[in-house]
Amino acid sequence: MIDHNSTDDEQIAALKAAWREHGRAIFTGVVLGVCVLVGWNYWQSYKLARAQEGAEVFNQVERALELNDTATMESGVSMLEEKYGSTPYLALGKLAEAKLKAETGDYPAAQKALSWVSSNANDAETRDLAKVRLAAVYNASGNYQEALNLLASGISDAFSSIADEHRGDAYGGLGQLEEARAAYDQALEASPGAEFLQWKRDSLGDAIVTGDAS
Amino acid sequence: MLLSIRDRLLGWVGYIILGLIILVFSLWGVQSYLGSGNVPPVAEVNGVEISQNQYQNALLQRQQQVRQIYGSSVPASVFESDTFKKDVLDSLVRNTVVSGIADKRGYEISDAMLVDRIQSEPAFQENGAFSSAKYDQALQVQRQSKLGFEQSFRNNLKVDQVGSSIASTALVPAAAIKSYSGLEQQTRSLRMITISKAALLETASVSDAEIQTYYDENLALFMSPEQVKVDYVLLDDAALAASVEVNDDVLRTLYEQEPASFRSSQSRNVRHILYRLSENATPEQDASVKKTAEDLYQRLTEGGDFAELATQFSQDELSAANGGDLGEIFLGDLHPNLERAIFALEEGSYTAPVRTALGYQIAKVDGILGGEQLAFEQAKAQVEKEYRAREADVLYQDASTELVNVSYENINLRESGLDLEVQTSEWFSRQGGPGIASDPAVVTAAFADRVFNQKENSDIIDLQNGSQVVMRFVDSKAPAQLPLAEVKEQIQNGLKEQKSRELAAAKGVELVNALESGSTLGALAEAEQLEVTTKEALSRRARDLDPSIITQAFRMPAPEGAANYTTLSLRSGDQVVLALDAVNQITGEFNEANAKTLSSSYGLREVEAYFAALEKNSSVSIVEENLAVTVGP
Repeated sequence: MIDHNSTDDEQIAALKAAWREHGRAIFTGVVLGVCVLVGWNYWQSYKLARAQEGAEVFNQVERALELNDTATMESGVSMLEEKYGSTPYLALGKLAEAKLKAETGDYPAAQKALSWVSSNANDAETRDLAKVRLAAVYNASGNYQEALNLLASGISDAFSSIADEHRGDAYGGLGQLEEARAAYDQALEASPGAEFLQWKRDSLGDAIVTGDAS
Repeated sequence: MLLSIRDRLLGWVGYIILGLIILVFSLWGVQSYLGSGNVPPVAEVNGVEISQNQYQNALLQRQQQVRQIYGSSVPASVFESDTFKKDVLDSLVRNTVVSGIADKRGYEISDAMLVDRIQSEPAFQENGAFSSAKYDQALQVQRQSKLGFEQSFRNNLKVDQVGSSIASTALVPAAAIKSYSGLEQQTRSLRMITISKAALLETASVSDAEIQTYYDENLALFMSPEQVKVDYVLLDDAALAASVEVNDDVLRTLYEQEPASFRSSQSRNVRHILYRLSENATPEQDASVKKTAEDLYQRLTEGGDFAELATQFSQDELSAANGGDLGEIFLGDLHPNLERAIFALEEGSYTAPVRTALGYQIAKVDGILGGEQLAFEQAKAQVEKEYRAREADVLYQDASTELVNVSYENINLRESGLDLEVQTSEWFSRQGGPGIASDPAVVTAAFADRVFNQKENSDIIDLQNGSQVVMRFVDSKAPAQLPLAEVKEQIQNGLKEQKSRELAAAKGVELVNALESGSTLGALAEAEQLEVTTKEALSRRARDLDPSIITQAFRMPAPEGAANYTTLSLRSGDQVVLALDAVNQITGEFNEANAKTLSSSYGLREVEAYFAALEKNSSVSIVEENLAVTVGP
């Protein structure tokens, strides 16, 4: 370090020497710092633009879903696949695709989209959501055992009401009415107002006696 | 010495001092950036604090929403309840979780989406289309800049997207939609008889011993309520006006200040033509009647004679016979819309069609009457009324100020030397009582800590009838056991009710047993003198039957061969015996409407589940002791 007892001239000389010795390093450091800063800003705005574009594409996919417009929907999803895999919109686009396919009865296509989301979505909640929906599609295509296996594969408890309903459907499909009733009853505890669920439970008979009945 | 200080300052001591100074300056005021300052937060969600301020705003906002929906009659205790506060805090926590997720996972809103959503916001629209003038105006009213508004709007959309993208993609396989349609359209055929509770009420007998037992076992139910009695001072406009002293001299002075303002009441001679239209008519009906009225108005402007047209077309038969003449009309006689139009007209002219409670009306002014200046003797009553109102206003201001002081200084009302009369209330409970206790604000204040426990004067309380009250505790009665004699009849009725229900239920079970061992419903009904009701093809959505009967009918297993029987109690206490004869299974079809209903119902449940899962994976800590804050009205 600089010696503090020296005169001003000596200090200047010392500074000059220090600059000669470290100048290049300091200069490189400053330039590097500026580069990192500029790069970071660029990266941020690039990411924002990407996300906004992805949102826009998903917005169009949602609209196509409302209009049952398969062509627009498919081109939207493949665009998400190509360019927006890092945004949440690819998984959402696939979920939209699965809805369109499942509601028109194309279960294999719906299964494919949902399987992808259930193992590739960026976060656990979306993966669990896709699993629950996949179980419904399995049930619709008669793969009851697969539905039960999937529903037992560690989905968050938060989804239990819907999962229990699908489990009831699966047991019903397998003819195991006792288990089906139990699963529906459990689902009804968490979602007492769900009409379809209640009807399915009622049609299995042997109801739990409520206040009205005696 | 200075030199040695300088030397030392440049040594290691200098570095330390310099370091401290840098530290102080760079950290100065940093707590204001970190947010809360010295007010502790109510909760922390994934490292984001929810401040007391945010919490209180949310409480107030929810309070206003509830008031908007249910009116101002919602008691304040609702907003003080723990459930209400917990509810508000829970949704605040949830919002914070979801908004953090929206940021972290990179949800965004494109410019095109933002523009689209702003333009479809009804508040910024005029005649169904976006109006940029209206947009600017709305922002000005909210004192927001465009940039600021758009940023917060975008952020809200972004957070909404987390849930809305799940709801919009909620799927229901085609097979499930078909099975829903099938269940929905399924019908059932049944017969039933109803055992009336009312008929059994006569036969149910209750002994004194039973009453005594019930009383002894339920002593807590038979307590008189806690009661209170208060002294109060009532500040009442009408009473003050009546107390003003009046003599002819002051009235004459007031009259002479501006004699021109005292005039006889105005009236009009009016004819009208009416096209009738009910108040809850559809827009189409309204438009058609309006058109007819406007056509007639057109004929009037082209010189048609009003009286003749009235006779011919007016649907007010009474006046039509006299050329539509209604005679002399005073202010307050007619619908305000029509009246405003009539009193603005000159003699001989007529109004355009006006929508009133009766329909569309066109009125013509035949003559303008009244409005002349009155002499003092004629105007005296009017002058006196005005004088009293004016003096009462002054008295009211003074007394109100005095009352505020008395309330604040907490002097016993009887020793306060107020000019106003101190009255004492009757006993009243939390359910209210006679006199001032019929006003819920009085009851709330009387049982509030300040009056009831601290024995202080209350604040000034605004009553529903517009007067004001200050009160002070006089006496209270603790809840006391009511003697059996006082509640005997009540117990007797209750027990009778219960017995007749039990008798009806037992009868129901007896009949079902008989049916299951081979009797027919018809034979049993005849023996019991009851009627058999038959429902062929009852649907789930039927409206002409008690809903609990429908629910029960659809819960019964389908009959194999003979009918299935069951019995149920209705809320009224009547007992129904049901025979399910047939289940009419339907093969469901795909149906667009059902697909929408189902997917939105699953969507709601999935969003709820998704958010709950997000919350489970978050770190949420709530500082219980900071939640106790209360919010003003």
